[in-house]
Amino acid sequence: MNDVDILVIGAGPAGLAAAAAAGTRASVLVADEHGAPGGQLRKQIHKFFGSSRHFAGKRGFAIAWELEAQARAAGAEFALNTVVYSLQPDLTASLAGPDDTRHVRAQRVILATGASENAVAFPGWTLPGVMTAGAAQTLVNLHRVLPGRRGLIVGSGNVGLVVGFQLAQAGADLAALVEIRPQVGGYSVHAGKLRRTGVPILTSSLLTRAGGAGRVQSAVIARCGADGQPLAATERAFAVDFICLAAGLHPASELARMAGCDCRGDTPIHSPELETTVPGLYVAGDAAGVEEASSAMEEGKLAATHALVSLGRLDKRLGLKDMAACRDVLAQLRGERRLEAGA
Amino acid sequence: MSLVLCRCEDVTEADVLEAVRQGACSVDEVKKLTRAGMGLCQGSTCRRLVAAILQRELGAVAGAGACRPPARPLDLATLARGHREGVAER
Amino acid sequence: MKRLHADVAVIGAGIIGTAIAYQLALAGRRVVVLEGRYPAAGASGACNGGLNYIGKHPALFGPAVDSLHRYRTLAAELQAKLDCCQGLPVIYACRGPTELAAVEPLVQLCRDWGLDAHLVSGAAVRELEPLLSPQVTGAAVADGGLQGVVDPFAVTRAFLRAALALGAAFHRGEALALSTAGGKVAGVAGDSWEVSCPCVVVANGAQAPELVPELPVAPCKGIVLVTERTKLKVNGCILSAAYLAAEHAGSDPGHTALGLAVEQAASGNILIGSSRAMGDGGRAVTPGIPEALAANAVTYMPALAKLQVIRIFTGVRARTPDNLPLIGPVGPDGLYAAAGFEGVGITLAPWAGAYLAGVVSGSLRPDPALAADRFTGR
Repeated sequence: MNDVDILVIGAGPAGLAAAAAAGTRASVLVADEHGAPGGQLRKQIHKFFGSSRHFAGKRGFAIAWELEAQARAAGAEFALNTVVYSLQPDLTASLAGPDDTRHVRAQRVILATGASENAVAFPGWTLPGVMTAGAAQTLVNLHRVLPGRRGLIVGSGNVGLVVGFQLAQAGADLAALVEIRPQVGGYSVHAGKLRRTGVPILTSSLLTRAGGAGRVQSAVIARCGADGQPLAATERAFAVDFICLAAGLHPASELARMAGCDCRGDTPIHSPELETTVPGLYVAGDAAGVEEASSAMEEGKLAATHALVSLGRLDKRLGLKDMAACRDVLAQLRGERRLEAGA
Repeated sequence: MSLVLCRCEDVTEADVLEAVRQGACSVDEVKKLTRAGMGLCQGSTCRRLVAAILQRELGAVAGAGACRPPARPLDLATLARGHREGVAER
Repeated sequence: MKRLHADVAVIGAGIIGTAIAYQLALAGRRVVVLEGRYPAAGASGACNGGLNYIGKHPALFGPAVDSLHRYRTLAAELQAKLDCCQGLPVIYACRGPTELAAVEPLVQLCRDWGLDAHLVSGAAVRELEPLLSPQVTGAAVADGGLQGVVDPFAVTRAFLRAALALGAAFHRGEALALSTAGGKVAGVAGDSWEVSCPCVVVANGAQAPELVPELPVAPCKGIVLVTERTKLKVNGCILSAAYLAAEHAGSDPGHTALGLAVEQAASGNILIGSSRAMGDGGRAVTPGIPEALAANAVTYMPALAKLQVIRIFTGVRARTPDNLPLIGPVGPDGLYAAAGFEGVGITLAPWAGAYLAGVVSGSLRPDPALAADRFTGR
């Protein structure tokens, strides 16, 4: 059994920020199932906006490099290509890496496992070529492969808007982005960028079915009323060879639930300092409730600070000050998002 | 043809509704009756779709439920590599 | 307060409780089945579904053979799909002469009953099961046509449905207290319901002592690995000599015993056990145990190494001090137990249903070796 002060599970923005904040004062191990740290940041090729505290003006993958460098400089160790396949209430984690499978007993665990994409079931959803927006983004931005020639995007949250824009930039021909609600869900900046590439955003519209033999060949959309039900005689068919579903995200809470955290829906219940109902087990980033990268970084730092104070590795007064600052920033970020959503 | 909800085990919406008709009122019970969520992805795709049907049919607010290891599929050899002598009598 | 009336209340809708409910309903009794969760939510739905006679205790050998004969016609009788496949061998794989000597008495017992069983060489057992490693130098094999595998969840549901068709009732609710009057059973109650009945059968496995404290049943946790569906075929049930030792290991709490138990479900998934954590009634997948089970499986069956383990489940067996079930009258008149089946409940359920129904009706004399009050006296 290897012992570690703090085990961080997931090396996305929350996990890396936690490791960077805790690494100088505690032994920190960061485990991630992928071969490189960064999580979703690795797929973000656009420049972030916001404040310098959250790397405004830098592209996502570059932010990942910088956060990783900070975490390594702080002394955090990384276990990459490593799946944490079990987590027990006593904070024993089981790790399967490329060379060994081992159990790690941690004093504190910060779960920064991110989010999973919601499935949508409609006739034809199991056809090859129907994929989540995240999968399409992995294909195009990490593997540099277009998912198809002509596609349709479903869902106008930021994920749908950004992935749509990136697919268009990479040369995919997008028939439309459809949104069931009467207005666009994501930031107007992202919607504007997509519109300027010439992709129509069709609100109050839904995908009713996908068709094709062996793979998706068509998408049928219809106008819908306020109840989300399709209106008669408004169906239109598009010839497409891929469909991206951006139907929202939910916290990836498998390990939290395995360890016995109480959850509301898929979200682990947690204190303002992000400790779950299992003592010593924290959640941060999308795993604590889906937001975005800046909040994730702030939450990683907040959870790490609370963990350090609870371990006696950080002066309590100093820690409380840092935590208050994190919570102020989080409140500010959430306020800005509300404003943006209202705009 | 009824909508497929669990792609791993080919379980349809009609199968799930039949399980509900037989008295199932949790995702776990639907799983045992229909095999929805028993495949390679262990319900990571269909669990919420099944929960939504239970919510619609029974008005029950289904929690996410328990989760068991392994959090990801692992081959036996990888799992076996984690064996240390002395855990138990063999 | 919901009030129900019945001739018999059966507590626990596991495979044993539903088998008993079916037989009692068949005998014309008004039965109510009480279940706190859902049918087969406990040990019945968390096991590998093996049907064996070899390896059974002498006191259970006759019941096992009786039960396996009943399984042959059970699907037709209950008019249900049970995924029951009989005619598969059971193999106790041995490494070295000491292990082979340890399984030899199992073979003898089968033969005493006129059933097929024999000791074979390593080469012969690999012919029967090519997935076995060259480390296996011999085996005890029983291939008498009765043994195999069944879907215990389907059997439990089928018994329950058949009982309901015969007029039994199913009530979802956890039984919290028994009531008696004048030394006789008067009923059983939950938080918002009660059943008035002169007869109660406690068949809720490891939870039985919560209602009847004098039943010496202790939990014994098992962990099973489930692989993806595969085209590889496991021929029957593969056990190790160590499995035998684990089954008969001491019941000291805190002690964990391991033995190989590999079977393939009708779906194609391979189930890999087994572990026995004495005194552990929890559901946690204890770190270290899945790894030990995997190591064991790969040692005996190297070809399984690349298969993905997709799920690991735990089940809680109900274990008695002598590891034989408690089945028969206990305590006040009208109270019966059918608990403590440990690892033999799936094999024995059809027999247990008929046996207990016979004991309740007075047509059968209970076997003292299995008596529910053998540890306490009456």
